[in-house]
Amino acid sequence: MPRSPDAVSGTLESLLLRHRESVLRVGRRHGLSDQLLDEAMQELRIRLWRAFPGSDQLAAVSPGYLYRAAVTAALMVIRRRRAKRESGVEMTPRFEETTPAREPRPDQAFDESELAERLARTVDELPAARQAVVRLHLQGYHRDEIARLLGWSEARTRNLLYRGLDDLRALLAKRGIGPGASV
Amino acid sequence: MKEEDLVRLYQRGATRRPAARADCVPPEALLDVVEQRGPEAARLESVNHAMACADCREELELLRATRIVRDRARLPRFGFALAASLVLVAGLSFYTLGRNRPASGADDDRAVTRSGSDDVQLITTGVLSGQTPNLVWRRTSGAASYVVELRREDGTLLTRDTTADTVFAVPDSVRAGPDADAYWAVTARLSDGTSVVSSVRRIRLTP
Repeated sequence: MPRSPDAVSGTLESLLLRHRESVLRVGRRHGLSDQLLDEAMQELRIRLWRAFPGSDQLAAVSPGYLYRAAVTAALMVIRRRRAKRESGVEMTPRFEETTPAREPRPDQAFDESELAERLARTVDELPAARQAVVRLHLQGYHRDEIARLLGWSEARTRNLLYRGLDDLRALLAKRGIGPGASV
Repeated sequence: MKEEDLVRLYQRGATRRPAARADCVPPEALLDVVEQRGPEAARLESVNHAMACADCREELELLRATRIVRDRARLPRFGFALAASLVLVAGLSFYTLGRNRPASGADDDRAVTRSGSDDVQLITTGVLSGQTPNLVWRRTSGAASYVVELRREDGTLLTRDTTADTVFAVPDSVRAGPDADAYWAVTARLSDGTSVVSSVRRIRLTP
């Protein structure tokens, strides 16, 4: 006999709860917004709800299946977001776009903006592997996260990071952006 | 230049969000990075783009978040049950702590969303029509506002709104067209910076 929708929904929510908190804690550190995650979780909820109309089936969903469903839901949400952007639908302003953390002085803002631009152009010149590890490092990823994401050993990651940062400093120094640069 | 200056300047430069996404890497390429599929050169190119584009970085992070599920799938059966239990216990601990935490000083790392809780109880069931267009739920203690979402069966968002009330009138335009099933849910944003998400409920839309 099919279960009531509320029984299914209780099982579904406890299934999602297993993962949600971990995802939030990890994702927020690197700029994942609640809004995008909420949309993906909702997409996943609906997919699971439709695929498993009974709570008994739902409780027995394998982690492998859940992973594929989560990936499909994430891809669906990303494609939808891109399509909205292309069609000119207004996106909800993001927190960092609406709330400046600290107003720098106008001259300081210009200096920093100029320096940020020059730094970005300089990072572009690094060889691809060093560039990737340096970019990830500068975005706040830990070395073990970088190694896992790129599928590298810890030693390779460490070497490329140190060499990449050395290269970056050397290139910046050539452009007159050295230890004494005002930032 | 000190390392913290490099970090700050780089992050400042990489917060830009392009108006159009024509030059962005496809979502499948971002997934290849997460699943370590395909040639390394292509994956490095995708990473290098994503770390300079705020939108792609966020999307990469969303896909990377699914790794938590994948990694758990690799554990032996007992290990999976244990890990799942630990996460559940951690989630419940956050729930309890969140209840007792003072309203001020909640930072992003500690903020938490609780899902599927009975704290947001949906009331409306059955059919939404011109005579009964309202989605109704019970008030949640400490809620500053509620985000209501209504989606089609295929996941397409029909309407989303934020309200301080516990009633949301579904616009006629959303109910236009042939009868269809939809799903709705409410997220309560609490004054201490945390959120509580209701369960999802099916509803029938009629003009």
